[in-house]
Amino acid sequence: MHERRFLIRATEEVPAPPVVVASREWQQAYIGAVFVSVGTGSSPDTHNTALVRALLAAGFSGRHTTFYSPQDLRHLPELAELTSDLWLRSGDGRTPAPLDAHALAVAELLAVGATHTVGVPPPVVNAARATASVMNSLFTSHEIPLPATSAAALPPLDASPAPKPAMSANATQAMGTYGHGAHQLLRAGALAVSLECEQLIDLLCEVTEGARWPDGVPAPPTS
Amino acid sequence: MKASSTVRAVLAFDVAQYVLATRAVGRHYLDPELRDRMAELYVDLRDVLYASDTVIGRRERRVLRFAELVLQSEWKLADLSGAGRSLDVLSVLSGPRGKRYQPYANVRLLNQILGTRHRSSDASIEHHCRQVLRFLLRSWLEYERRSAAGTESWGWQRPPSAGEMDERLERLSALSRETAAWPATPPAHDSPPARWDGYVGTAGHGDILEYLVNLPQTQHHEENAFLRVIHLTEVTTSGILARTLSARTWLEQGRLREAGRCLQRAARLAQLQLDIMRVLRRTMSVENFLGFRKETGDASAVQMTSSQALNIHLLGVHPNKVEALESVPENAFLLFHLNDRFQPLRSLLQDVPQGTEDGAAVLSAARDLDEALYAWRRLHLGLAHRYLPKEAPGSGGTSGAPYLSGFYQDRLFDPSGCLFPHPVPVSAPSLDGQHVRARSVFSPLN
Repeated sequence: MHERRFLIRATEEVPAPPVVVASREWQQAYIGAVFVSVGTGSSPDTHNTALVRALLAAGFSGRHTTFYSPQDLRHLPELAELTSDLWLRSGDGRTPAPLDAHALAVAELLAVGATHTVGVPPPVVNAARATASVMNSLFTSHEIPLPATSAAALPPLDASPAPKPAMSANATQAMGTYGHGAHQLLRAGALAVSLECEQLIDLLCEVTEGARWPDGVPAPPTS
Repeated sequence: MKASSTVRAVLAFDVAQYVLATRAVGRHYLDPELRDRMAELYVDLRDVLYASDTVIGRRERRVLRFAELVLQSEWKLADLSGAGRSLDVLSVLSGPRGKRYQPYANVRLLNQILGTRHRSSDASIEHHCRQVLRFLLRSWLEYERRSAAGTESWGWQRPPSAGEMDERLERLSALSRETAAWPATPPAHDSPPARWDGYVGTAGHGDILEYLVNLPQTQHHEENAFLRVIHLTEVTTSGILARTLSARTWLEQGRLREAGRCLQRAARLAQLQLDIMRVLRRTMSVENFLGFRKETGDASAVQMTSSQALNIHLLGVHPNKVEALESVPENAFLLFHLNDRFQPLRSLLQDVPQGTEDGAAVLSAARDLDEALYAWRRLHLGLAHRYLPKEAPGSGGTSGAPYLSGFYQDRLFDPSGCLFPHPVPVSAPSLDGQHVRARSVFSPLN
């Protein structure tokens, strides 16, 4: 069992109100577990920072949420290459390989360690799940979390109880006003997820150094 | 240019010389130039690794990331008195360093092996914990055997008495037998590898544990033992924490059988943790403890993130701990758990049906875990009373025994075996002006 991690994809606009309400719950129930992937792979900075400001205004907390843009993640292409390589070498051929078009998105899900997703296309989630399963077969124990096949459950908006005052007024204010700029939040978030990315690459390299590969299949390079 | 020269300098660093020098004189008494050099290398390396235009091969980056952990530890411990140092060095040594406990005990290196720097599963973390516990217990036992035989020069000052040593050997032998069937870590080499590359990867874990984690400040034998207890406690705590987090998740899903198994495994580790603490309590004299205490500085278990996180996930944030948590930048994020959405294990157990087999198993395992941890806290409080002079403050800026007394009785079950009610609500501090961000319990920041 892995710690819960929620990955919300906000490509162009703020997610629907039920997502915002749910994320407030997640941010408090699971500290440090909410990640928001902002923009697309080619969105300009101005678009991404404007979107983060809108998310903060909608109720996401700068202190409790990790905002990042996938294009700012260091080592993500390397992780995508490594996981695709591992898939090709260790897959048994019965399950379809993740499409090349999804490789980066799959790597992003695995780097974040998402167990629940919102706004991530099902083919990407399924590919990430399959990739994680294949990689877990190389480990002695279940290392990589499998993202759930269905999107994270959200409370129906009209049935949601009014949010209870969860913290003191000072603390709530601190949550909402701590931003130090959307740009800084994106930068800090990209660094945080990039570190996770590196950890996963390190882990995969350790495993491949000791893995048994099918006869005739060379091990992937680790340097 | 600077990037490549930094990388060359880091890769050329003689790790073996560092280890042997530290063992010869004690970490606190290392050549100041060596320590300054390591601090400088850390700052330069940090800049290289985080620069957006740096291109480093995968293997090399892994090696440098590992070196970063060790060099950072020296940077964090760097002496800021400034006596006899150049202005350049002083400017290098400035910047936030956090509290002393983490670098004193080289906790980040330990976490690297345990897998608590990324979101591993509870099963994976416990597996690594068991590997490391088996190794560390054996390492300690062999160290004491050599010391008793007069063939060990490391930590030669103020050894335990013959009676204390005999009891220590007996207890450590028992613990080693108990863990004999646990998974093994690759053994350490007879001497420390000279290059960082020798420590990277699973094959290097034994050398990390043997040579780089345990670096006492002095040549006091009992400080060596004290650090070993700290490391063993860190490892057991990480395992207990991983299983507790998992048990909470299973309970939220109504999966009682799985939750019960997690709590049973956590309880097993908690019992071992208690037995390890008893080795210290029974075999370390007050005189010997006070002999090295000053060199631990303000390092303190109150700064131990894993322990604080465990208590919160079991019981919630205790009112008497708010100030201590707020005062340690590395731990302040734990105060975010002060909200009524977060449900510690204590709350989740309230909804476990007592009349079912699986429910009864959950509660039984939770009681075992609670009992072992309560016994450990009592023992820890007893140590504070025993080892700290009445007029002396506790470690980490606390009051010592009075601080521990404020919450050691907070537990899952009361003496009659009934669940304690929900914790008293506590107001969360605003943390205004502090750069505190929420993060997961298992994270690269560990």
